[in-house]
Amino acid sequence: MSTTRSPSEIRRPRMALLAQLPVFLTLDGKRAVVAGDATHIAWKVELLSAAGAAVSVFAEDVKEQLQAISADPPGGPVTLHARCWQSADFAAASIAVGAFVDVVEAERFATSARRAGVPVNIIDKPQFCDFTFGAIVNRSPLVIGISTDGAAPMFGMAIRTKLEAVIPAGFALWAKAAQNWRRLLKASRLNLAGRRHFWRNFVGHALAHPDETPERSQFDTILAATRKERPSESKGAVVLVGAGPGNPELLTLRGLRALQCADVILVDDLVTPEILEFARREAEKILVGKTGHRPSCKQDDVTDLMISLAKSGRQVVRLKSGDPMIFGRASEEIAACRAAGIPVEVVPGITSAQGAASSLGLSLTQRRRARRLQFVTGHGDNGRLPDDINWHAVADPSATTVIYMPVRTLEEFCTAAVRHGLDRHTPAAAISHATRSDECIVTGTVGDLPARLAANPLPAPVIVLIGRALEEAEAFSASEASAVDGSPYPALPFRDATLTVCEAGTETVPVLCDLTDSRSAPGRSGFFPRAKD
Amino acid sequence: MNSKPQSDRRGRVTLVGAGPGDPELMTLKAVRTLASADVILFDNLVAPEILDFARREARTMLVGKSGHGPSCRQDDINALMVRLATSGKHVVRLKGGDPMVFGRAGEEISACRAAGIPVEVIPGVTAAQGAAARLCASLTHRDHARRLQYVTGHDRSGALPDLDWTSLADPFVTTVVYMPARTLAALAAKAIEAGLDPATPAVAVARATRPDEEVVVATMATLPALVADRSPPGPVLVMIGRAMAEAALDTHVSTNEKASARAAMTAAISAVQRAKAK
Repeated sequence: MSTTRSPSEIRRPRMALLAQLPVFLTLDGKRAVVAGDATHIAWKVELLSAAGAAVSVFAEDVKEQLQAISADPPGGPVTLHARCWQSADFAAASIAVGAFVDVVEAERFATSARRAGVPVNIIDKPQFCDFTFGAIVNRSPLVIGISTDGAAPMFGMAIRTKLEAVIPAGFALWAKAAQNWRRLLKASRLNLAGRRHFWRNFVGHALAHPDETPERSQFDTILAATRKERPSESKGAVVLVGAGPGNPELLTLRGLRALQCADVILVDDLVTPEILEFARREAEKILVGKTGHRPSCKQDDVTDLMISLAKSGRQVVRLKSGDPMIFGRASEEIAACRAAGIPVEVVPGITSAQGAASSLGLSLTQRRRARRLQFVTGHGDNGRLPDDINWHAVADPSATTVIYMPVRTLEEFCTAAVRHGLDRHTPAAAISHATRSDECIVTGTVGDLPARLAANPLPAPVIVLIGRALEEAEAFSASEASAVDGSPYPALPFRDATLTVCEAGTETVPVLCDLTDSRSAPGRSGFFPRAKD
Repeated sequence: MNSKPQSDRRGRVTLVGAGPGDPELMTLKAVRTLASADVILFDNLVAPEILDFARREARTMLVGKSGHGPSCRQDDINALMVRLATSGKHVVRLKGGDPMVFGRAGEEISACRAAGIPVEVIPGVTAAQGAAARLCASLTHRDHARRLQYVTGHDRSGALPDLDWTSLADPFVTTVVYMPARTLAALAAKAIEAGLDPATPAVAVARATRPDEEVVVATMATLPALVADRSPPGPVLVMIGRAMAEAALDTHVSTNEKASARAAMTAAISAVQRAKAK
């Protein structure tokens, strides 16, 4: 075979620009200075007190609202001073907030604060601010801050509302428990790998049971489960993850979690780079360059690298486009892991055929037209059309056939299929970058698709779909702006259905029941369990 | 572009693949879509935990499509879906596995199109993909399977459909059979009659990827009786082919008849090796 290449680490791209740096300020017991218009500062006084600050308020007109907060502060003490602020007030302060209608007064306050080394915020006057307050989702000690850098506070609020809905109130208790259990865990004498493993189990438990009240006994249970998994043998593990067809949103939740836990990610060329954004920034990403036609890393090299990384105790994710178990050569990698005694798990993914079917609105098993769905590869070990294709199966008019890596051998494939009896007018489509924003499609028939594709080459990866299920031509015909062959799907000479249609049968009584009120399912709940309200 | 004023009020339909059962095997897009649905029409085959992704205010309606139990008529489901969307709702039609693979999505898409309702499809992991992942058995093991095919084990009347038996008898294919429970014996007989080696590995998986998943590993000749003995509840799928010999290696397959399954598998594996040697 041709040239090969070696695995190469992907240089970490420089971080995207940040409009602001989110930092979380510890204010417990620190002095905060708040001054200016009483109605505008009241909420900030309450906020700073809630964060534990000792708040000194300077306002000529101390309104009822402030007095109420001062009488019953949520956290740190609130002291009211019915006078104007002075430069000396900033002494030993950690944070300053002002509300002034007058720009000159606002600037004077900001300048004085800075001179005293105190970071300052003037409400609604971003030009004087060292920092801004974001929208807050509070599950303390779990705190989420949201900023739009002043661009659209309403947008920030809307996101906050969304997060409030998906983050259960119970997470506060679990976060608190984590804080308390940290010490217990240290005393358990688990090693670093073991402790990491414990926290992984802890998170899994908290996400699954957000409404439980964490108890000491649960600490023991999670610890025992962790010990049972014997993470102390600092052995790594391998997870083969299907990255799906291209659109990062078509990754599974499990795949997302595996990526977030990975120390090292071995990735194919065909995987959309955006998917790697889900990984931790510190994770090492290694391109192992398996592509259809370009030089590839040898499978043995990839396998060896995977095993040696896992043996050194790392969590290795082997990220493959589509589904690892469908033309993904997963079996060799699984066998190698088993031989080396390394735990291996597989996370399935959406194949590009499934992705393409969805984006084209095309059922692969259209009831009247396809009773069998089959996947074949157009690319044998030597890069040529495999010599053991079952042409009888391909020529079956009631099958939908998906060809992986079809481009180079398509003409030969179609010719052979027609020779074995497939109607040359059977609809066929080549889809490139299925489900991605740059998805494009060339449509035709088994007879003319190779020529059409040659005239309009598509960027890899491409799959070809063949079969009468594609007669759902609406998906192609009307308005597919992405059809690149210039000619909208032609009036193909499809013949009328000659298939026997399994239509007969007994119809039974409709059962339409509304489960709205009886939904609460026992047992585990989802990844984003519903918030209690 | 050509946005009409009333388009704001118009509903839409999204067909969502719920995946094989484990809620963690849902796609991110499916989760996001469920969280924005006003009404969710779902099948019996969808794991109940998956509905937890919905908003609390969303209506959830069981439209009772199951393999063998009484079902709603497809026409009634289509009509309900269109009516709800016409009244301005975002309707999610949630289906087990992938809507585009034996999910009868075609009919629902046509109904929406005919009614002028925007329709979108979000694919899902099929039960076979879920089961293969759990068993660590590749569906296209390069030594054993050059082709992967999905067929259904029952037609609309519940009988074995007229399948292309020659393509099932191919020694280098992995065949996934959906809903085969009642027709498995007949299917095995037909496939063997068409030339399939009776010692071909065959695996039945009930409630794939759920916590109570059940796996029976056997051969094409022995599987039907083993499955009939257990008659497992819930959706069952069968995977047939030499590639499935790998399933016997998986440690989490610890069935009652492990010993007999192992013996069958040893025979199957040696058959594979004989074939490879040729």
